[in-house]
Amino acid sequence: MTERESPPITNRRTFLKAAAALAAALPLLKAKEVKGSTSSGEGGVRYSILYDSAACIGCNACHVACKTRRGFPIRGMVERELSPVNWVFVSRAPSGGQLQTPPFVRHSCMHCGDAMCQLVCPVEAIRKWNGLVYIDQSRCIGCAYCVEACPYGVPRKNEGPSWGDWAPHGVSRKCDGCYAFVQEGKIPACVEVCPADALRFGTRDEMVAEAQRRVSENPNLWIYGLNEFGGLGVIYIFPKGFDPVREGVFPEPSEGYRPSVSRGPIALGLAAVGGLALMGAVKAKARGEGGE
Amino acid sequence: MFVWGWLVTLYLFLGGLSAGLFAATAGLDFVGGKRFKRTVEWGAYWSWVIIALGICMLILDLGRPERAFNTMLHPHPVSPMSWGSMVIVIFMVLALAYWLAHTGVIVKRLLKPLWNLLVRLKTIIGILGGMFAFMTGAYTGILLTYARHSMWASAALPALFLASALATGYALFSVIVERTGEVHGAGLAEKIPMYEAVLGVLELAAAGAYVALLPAEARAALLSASNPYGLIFLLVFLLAGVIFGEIVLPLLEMKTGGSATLFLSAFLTLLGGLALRYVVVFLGQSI
Repeated sequence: MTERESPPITNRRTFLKAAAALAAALPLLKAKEVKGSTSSGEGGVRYSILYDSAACIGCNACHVACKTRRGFPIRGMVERELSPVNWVFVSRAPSGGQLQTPPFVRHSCMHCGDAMCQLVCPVEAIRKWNGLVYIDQSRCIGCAYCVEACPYGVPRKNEGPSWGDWAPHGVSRKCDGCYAFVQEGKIPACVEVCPADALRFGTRDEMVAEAQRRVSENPNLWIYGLNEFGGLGVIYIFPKGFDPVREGVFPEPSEGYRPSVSRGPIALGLAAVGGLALMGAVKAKARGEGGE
Repeated sequence: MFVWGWLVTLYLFLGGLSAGLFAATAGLDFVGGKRFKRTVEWGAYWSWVIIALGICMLILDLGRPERAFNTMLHPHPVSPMSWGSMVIVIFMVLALAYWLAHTGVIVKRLLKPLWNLLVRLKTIIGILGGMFAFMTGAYTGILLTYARHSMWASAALPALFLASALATGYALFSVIVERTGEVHGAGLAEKIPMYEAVLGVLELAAAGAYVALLPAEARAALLSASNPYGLIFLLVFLLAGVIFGEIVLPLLEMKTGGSATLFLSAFLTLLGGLALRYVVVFLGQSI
């Protein structure tokens, strides 16, 4: 039996059982939600998605399912660019590194543990529910700071017309991990339809364990996303010989927000002290010279 | 392709311009008191008008401008844009209060107690306004350093924006000074271009630090003469704005004792300041 044929850790039945238990505990989980927190441990559970590039067949059923669930327009060709109405797609990497054929890469929100979009949002419109990063579109002001700050370049501001309830005009939009559907006991649309078992959904611990199991059974694979940006909410399995950072598909983790988070207050404090000192000095000098 | 465009560029420029103008105006007020009444009144007036214009640009750039007040209603302390919004709004209020304290427009007749309070607190408002002007000038640079683009990753960007804010604000201030003519005969006329040159040298140093601290890829793009943005940075900002506008022409003015090139110097400085923001915003998003 290959690893692809083994029973999934989170099959539909076990997931629904967990979801029922989750629904019962929903008020508690909601109470545990920490607004503006950058930690990955808010709430009792951290949900994640597992994406196995080696198993992916590039059919983009995930892309269509996502659009269908949200009522977004489906065009003839797969849109290979994220947009306010295109939250996920799969494409081949532009180059394969040491591989002859570039592997498939899933492009969507990473649901980072240290979500920079959430940190920079000036109005706390970006929040987390059990690890799933979502935008409260009723609060978003459309400043696009999240668009500029996300290291993966995921959020997009909807400059065009509204598309139903899920992509109103003027606000930033991105994959929300189907958190509202998960609250209802469903799983993300992309995971639900994947025909190749390349996508799984469950707690992060389960997804990491599943990724490690797949890698242990196939030494030609490796895991991305365990530690980057506070640990991603999307765990990737790639073939060895392909490094998405080296190939420019994903950013350098060191370019993240964390190292510079204290830079702003320090710079602002220095400017404030400088301004106060200069104005005070001019005033004191003028007083000394009898200027007033 | 560009998420932040001309409105954000103008906001960054006007924010800095207003901040620099306020700092120079309050400084002159402290030094000269009532001798420079008209200069201080005009300087204070343009300070709050320009920052108000800048805030309008920022609000117009929002996807949902009607929700702009969410920044005040739902502040997010770890977000630079959140505390930056507070800083620029407080600065605008202080600049407006400073202007009212000097002119008494409206409040002198209609709100006498407020007028008395403003007059009494004039010095404190000036000092606090100067402090918030510096914070506004630096904040516009801080805002960008939190984003992912390599052009904005230089730790010296806030210093460069602050230096540019002071230089552009001072250039506009020197025009106001020339128009009112109050410093002639007050022993300050020759110092006006001297301070401009000092600010120019400071900005040149800040620009050097900014370029030195950029990632290699961004530095190469910025200093490339084959890149249109690089050309604008080198020719318009650095050569025309800083070297000629802020250093060479003011030094010539000092030597000749005239003010023939003052308007050209101010124009080049303002143009350079705008070019700097334009290049940083647009080139920043394209690499």
